[in-house]
Amino acid sequence: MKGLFRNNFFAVWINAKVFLIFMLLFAIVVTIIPAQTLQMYFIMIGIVGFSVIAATAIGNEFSSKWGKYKLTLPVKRTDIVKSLFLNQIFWIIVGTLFVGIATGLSYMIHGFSFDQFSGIFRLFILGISISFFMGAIFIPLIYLTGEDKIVVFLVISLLCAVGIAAMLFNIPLFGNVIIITCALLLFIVSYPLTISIFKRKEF
Amino acid sequence: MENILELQQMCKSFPKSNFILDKLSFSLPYGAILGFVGENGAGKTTTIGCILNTIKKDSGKIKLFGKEMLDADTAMREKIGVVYDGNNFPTNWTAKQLAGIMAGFYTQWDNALFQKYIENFKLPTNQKIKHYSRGMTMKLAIAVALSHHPQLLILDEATSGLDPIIRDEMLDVFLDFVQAENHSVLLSSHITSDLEKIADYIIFIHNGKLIATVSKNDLIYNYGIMRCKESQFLSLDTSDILAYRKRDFQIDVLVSDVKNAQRKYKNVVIDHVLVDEIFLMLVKGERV
Repeated sequence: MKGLFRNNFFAVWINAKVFLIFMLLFAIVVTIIPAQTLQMYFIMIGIVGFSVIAATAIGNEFSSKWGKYKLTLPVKRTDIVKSLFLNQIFWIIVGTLFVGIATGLSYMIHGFSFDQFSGIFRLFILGISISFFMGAIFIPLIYLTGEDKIVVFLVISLLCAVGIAAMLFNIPLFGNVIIITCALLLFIVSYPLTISIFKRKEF
Repeated sequence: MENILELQQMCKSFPKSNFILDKLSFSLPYGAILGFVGENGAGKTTTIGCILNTIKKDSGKIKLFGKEMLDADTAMREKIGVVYDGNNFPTNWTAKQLAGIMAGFYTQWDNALFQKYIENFKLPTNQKIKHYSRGMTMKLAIAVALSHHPQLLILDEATSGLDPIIRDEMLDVFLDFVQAENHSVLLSSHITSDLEKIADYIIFIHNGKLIATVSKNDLIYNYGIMRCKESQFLSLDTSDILAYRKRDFQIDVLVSDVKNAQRKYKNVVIDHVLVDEIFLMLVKGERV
């Protein structure tokens, strides 16, 4: 598993560091200019962005023979899938922590820019949920279809994730709990589904 | 002789294609190099895929180190080094990063050995693989395949597209590898001159079927092509003919026992044969 984690990290890091520079600049703007709309975009782009980059990087592995080569290494197919899901969780955490720290910093300097505390909390829930929904849809799809449809399935996964999240987000009362529970459940269900697809996959 | 790799009646078909690997049986002894020859689309890569479990076989047996390899047999895969044609690794990595990643996969990864190969092959460690030439990419793949002390090297068209000098260097590396008695190499290629140079055994595959298995000694000492006139051809004993091919004014006949042919057919010219010619005769020639 150590090799798989390193592999996944490197695969994502190459793109993530460019995104990180963009987000750092964005974070500086958000910290200097206290504006609710700007903060909203920052939180959503930060959390979802890192998870999209993680998913794309993994998808790109299929375009070289590396995806096939990995199967000849001393790792099980189950572990390859497990490492992908853990990688997705890792980058969602990275994104959440990053925007969390920058938002906290802005709060310390300018005070609270949101009307209510629940507003910012709900944004975090929404971003995390979209990221989980997207990963849950994209990973099995890419194993099912292969490398030539990475971009289109990423777009489809992201649109579906946003659609599902927007639908659940508007449920009154327990909307937050429902949306995050559904996202996590779908992500969990997606794991054995991906394993079963990958076990049958031939390269 | 004990075998490091053994295929018994292995079959594989694909639902969306007419291609079938049909009851493939062959073995690779310890300490030997087995050349795997076939035209493009003959089934070489599919066979290697089945051996390495990247493709599921339909039936038959494939034994590596005496047992069938399942997905869970990671310890067995520690003993196998693989090189595919083209980009084996993500091209935005450097050789240095690749070594770090491989060290996480193989318990027996030997970074000193990897560095030695990298130096010998004159590969830049901090340059991204995408800036490597094709020869450099293949050298890197071979360095990786050898740096975890494998017993079996499986190379799928690893020398194709390389210039003769780099190919020669690579072949020397493989010959060096099989100096250890428990090491073997399976080398698929359509560059038959490479196989003539290093292979102990050569198997020929055509349209998913194994058409011949020849040891290099047999190839050198026993196989030959008789250049016959039509009248001479008609007088041949059919049991001596492996395959024949009509040319303008002669008929070439492939035989597997040159000495016997020389004794029986004194007036016929018999040439020694190259792998290329055998392959052409077996694929394009007619059988009696």
